[in-house]
This record gives sequence, structure tokens and C-alpha cells, in this order.
Amino acid sequence: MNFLGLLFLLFAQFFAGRGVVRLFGVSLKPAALFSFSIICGVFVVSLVPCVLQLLHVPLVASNLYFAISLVTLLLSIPLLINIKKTKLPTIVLPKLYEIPFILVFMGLAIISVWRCFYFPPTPRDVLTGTELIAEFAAREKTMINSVFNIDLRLNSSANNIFKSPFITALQLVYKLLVHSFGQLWLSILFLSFTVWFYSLLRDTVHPLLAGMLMLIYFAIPDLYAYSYVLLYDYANMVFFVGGYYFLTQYLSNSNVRMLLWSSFLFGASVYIRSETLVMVVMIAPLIALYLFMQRTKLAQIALHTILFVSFSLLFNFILSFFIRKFIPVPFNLSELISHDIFNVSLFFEKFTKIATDTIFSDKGRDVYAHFFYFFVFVFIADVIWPRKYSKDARYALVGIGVVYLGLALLSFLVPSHTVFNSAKRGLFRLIPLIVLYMAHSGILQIISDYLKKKETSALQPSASKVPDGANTPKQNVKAGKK
Amino acid sequence: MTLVAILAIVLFFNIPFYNHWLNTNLLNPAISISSTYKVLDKEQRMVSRFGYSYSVYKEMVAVFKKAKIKDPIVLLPPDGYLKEKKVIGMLVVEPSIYYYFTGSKAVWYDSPDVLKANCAMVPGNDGKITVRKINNRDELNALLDIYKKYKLDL
Repeated sequence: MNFLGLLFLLFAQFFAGRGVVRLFGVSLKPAALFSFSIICGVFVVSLVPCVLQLLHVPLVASNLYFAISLVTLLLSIPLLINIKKTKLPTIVLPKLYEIPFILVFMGLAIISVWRCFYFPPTPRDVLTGTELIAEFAAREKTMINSVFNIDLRLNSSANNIFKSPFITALQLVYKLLVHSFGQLWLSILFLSFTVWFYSLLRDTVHPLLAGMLMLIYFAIPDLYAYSYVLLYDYANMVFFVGGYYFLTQYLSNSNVRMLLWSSFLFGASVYIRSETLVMVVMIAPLIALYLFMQRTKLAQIALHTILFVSFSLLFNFILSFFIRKFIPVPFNLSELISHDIFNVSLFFEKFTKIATDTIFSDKGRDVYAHFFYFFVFVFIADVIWPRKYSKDARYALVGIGVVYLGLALLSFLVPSHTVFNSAKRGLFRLIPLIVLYMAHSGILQIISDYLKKKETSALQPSASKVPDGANTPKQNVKAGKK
Repeated sequence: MTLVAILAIVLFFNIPFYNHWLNTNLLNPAISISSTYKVLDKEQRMVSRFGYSYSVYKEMVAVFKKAKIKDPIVLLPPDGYLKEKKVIGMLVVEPSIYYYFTGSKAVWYDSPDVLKANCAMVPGNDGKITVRKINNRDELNALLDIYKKYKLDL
């Protein structure tokens, strides 16, 4: 394993991604800034081999080093211009009671990273598609290689060579620069997303509850497995959930930059799995409705809605362009679409089957453990009491509904998008949204407030012993009242 | 609070499903970190992941090289045929995965290039796998006639 290559990529990804975040001009909390800089950097790096391929530059390590360095330098320009404004983040140390949870998460993360490093890519979907192309691209220095001269079982159950070059490109970069199995980019995405998601939960509920929610999330067998098994779904989930979360931020502050940032992340998720476009289009009316309720002018509603879908459309176009350029085999999309689209009852059948066959079944339990039962429990508890739905809880529920409906629609429109295999992994997009809903649910918020009050009251006697000057403003106010 | 956190974790992993998941997949998995960190050779890692079949395919390629067969294109038998011949532990992969494993070409009986096959992987009567050269179209057709009776599974 080439540690220097890994270090180079880590730095390049961070600075390139940080530059992208700066270009969008959004202000993010430290954990989000750190995590999404790396996440965006991984996405940027995934585009580099594709551009080199278009320019007919041989895909060798030296060219990749040069091209990635160049892209990083270019994207670092906005950072250098505003270098004086750059503030070092304040590191918040975890509280003592968070440490048991953090130790468990670290243990699980170490196992995941080790498996990602140690084992070669295994799923058939990648061995007969993107990983196969990447392996021979590394040997033959081009993505258009000898793989296309063998029997690829086209027109069989899955035409895997036509999938996004996202994995092909990243595998190629990591194979040539880091390790012959590639894959470690997946661990980088997994760790970055986990750090952000935990910090987000910690900001939403008391850290003890955040730890519990994170534990339930971590212990979903399939989701955890796909943090080290090479496929599209984990990466797609990372960008999709990021996009949705920042969209809800836009809905709270109407900051257009946040809308564009969210649009960009959704665009990246569309680039990774093109069918995500269906869900992005389904989310767009939410923006229109929000702006309509804010009594915004129709022209502005239209503009913002278009801005929201713009990156998804752009990346979908880029994806189709790359596939046409890099896959020298004709592809007929119409063959994939169902010929029975007027049979609406089939849609409802798929809609029901996702719940009965995928989520709440014996197979579903092996895939998601009791996660969905926890969700149903919290949801029903919330309906009974306290029936308080914050904006964030409602947005999370809308997101859950959109993903579920979108998957049913996809299973209905595309027969190869099977309810168990495809929807099973498609539901990953929904899982962090469910965790976010649970964090914002009325019942957990009440428990969280209670724990926070308990904690504050337990701290107060010791705080009064501290000299006045060291007290926080809040404590000073309280002291003044006394 | 710290005790509550520890208690919560312990209780969570006492739920039977999570307990089983923790024990079989993470604490005592079939291939653990402690058993693997000393075995870092790429080929050994490939074998531990893809099993016996991978070793057989790699060995086949070595045999072709030794026999100085240029550009071997192997006709792979259907899985059903191997099972009938009581070949245990061998999984037939599709041509693209064979190419990924070995860098050498293979075909199934319904592949477009099946007539270009110049070698074959055939099960012996003792349940073992053998490889042989296909010398003419008649030999190839004889094998195809047998293989076509079986369904190909991806």
C-alpha cells in the first residue's frame, strides 16, 4: 500500500472540496465544513480520470498526480484569496458520557475500514461492470479497453457496464495511487459522513440520545456492510442526505447559496445513481410550495425551483455524455422501461411490497435489524403524545415519503429495479432521514430537554464556585437574578 | 450519565438480534482482523474472498501458459453440469468475472464468440476438474451439445 499516495489524495480531496464549498459561499458548522470538504473532494477527484480520458491522456499514475494537483490548486484559489477570513475551528471535546458510545463507533469504524482495505471488491454488479473496467483501465491506461471485447452478458439481468463512471474513476485513481484493490475512498466517504452525522445529531438532541440514535443507525447490518462493500448506494446516500439536509436549511433561511449548494449535492447523487433524478424532481414542488406560502413572486418561485434541479440535470447530462463516450457498446434505455405503465394497480402493488417484502419481513429484519420498528415506535408515540412536530421533523417526514414513493415509482417504471434487491439498497437514502426525524420528534425532544436541564442543574453548584469572570453570559444573568 | 451510557449500550447489544450480529459479524467473524493482518499478500486475499474456484481458474491459466497455448479462450461448463458430475465447491463464473480473475478470455455456450473456444474446462468422472484443448469443431460441438441441456445462471 502506498501511504504517500493516500496522504496526497486526502490532502487533495480536502482542499479541492474546501474550495468547492467556498465557491458556493455557504457558511457551515466546523464538522459539516470538514466532512463535506472531503466528501466533495472525493466527487471532484472522481471526475478527473473522465476528463483525462476525454482528452486522450494515458491514465497512468504520474498523469493522475499531475491532474489532481492541478485541479486542487485551481480550486484552492478561492481559499487563498480569502485566506485572512479563514478561521481555525474550535474543537469541542466530547463529554465523558459520550466516550462509551464513541469507543463503540470507533471499533465499528476500524473494522469497516480494515475490511474495505483488506478484501477485494466482491459484488457481481461491480465485477461485471465498473470495477472490471477500472482494473483493465489501470493495466491498459485507458477506460476504453479490452473489457469490451469479451462476453459482458449484455441484455441479461443487469447491464452493469452502463452504470456511472463514478466508481470506475475512483477505483482507477485509488488502484494506481494507493492500493491495488482501490476502495479506500469508500471508507473516506463513510468516515466523513459519520463524523458530520453524529455532530448533527449532537446539535439536535442531548448527546446521550445522539449516541443512542447513532448506535441504532450503525447497527443496521446492510448499511454497515455497504460501508466497506463496493457499490453505489452508500455514496449515493451520502450526497442525497447531505443535499436534503441543506435543502431544509434553505427552507429555514431562504439563502439562495444554500439552495445551490443543496442542488450541487443532489446533482452529485444523480451522477452516482441516475435514477435519483426521479426523487429530486419529486422534491422540487416542496420548494415551490414553500416559496408560494412565503408569498414569493411566481417568477422567483420558478427561478428557485429551476436552480434546485439545475445541477441534477447538468450532472445527468454529463453522466449520459461520459457513458456514450466511454462505453463503446450501444445502449437502449427504452428496453428498461416497463411496457405496462398504464396499469396503476401495479404501482400500488410495488408500493405495498416495499413495506411487506422488504422492510417488515424476515429478510428485511436481516437487512435493517429492528431499525424500522424503532422508527414506527417513535412515530406512533409522537402521534399519541406530545403531537408536536417541529419544522425539521416535518421536513424529515416529507423526505422519507419522497424516497419511499420514489422507490415504488422506480420499481413500477423499471422492472429491473426489483423491490427486494434494488429498493433494499435504495432505502439507505431514507435511513439517515428517519434518524433525523427521530432526533426532532416531540418525544425525544422532551427527553432531551429533561436531560439537558438535569445536566445543567447538576453543574450549577460547581459553577458558582468559579470566579465571576470565568462564568458564561448565561450563568452571569442567572447570578444577577439571584 | 456515563453509567447510563454504558448501560444503554449493554442493553442494546442484549437484544437477541443485535447480540447475534455483534458476535458473529464483528467480535468473532469467520475472517477477523487478528487472523488477517499478517496475511497481506494480494493473491491470498483474493483466495480468501473468492475461494476455491478462484484458485482453480488461476491454476488453469498457469496450465495454458505451460502448454504454450496462445490466447486461450476457455469454454466454461454450466453450473448444473458440474453439480451432476458431483464436482464439489466449484462455482462457474460468468466470462467477464473469469476475465477479471485471470486476464484471459472465457465463453459460455451462448456467448457470441463461442466458436472461438480453443480450450475447455471439463469435469472428470472422479469429481475433479480438468482442462483440455479443443482440437476441432467436432470436439467443440460435442461439448456444446452436452452443455446446452443445462440452464445458465448468473
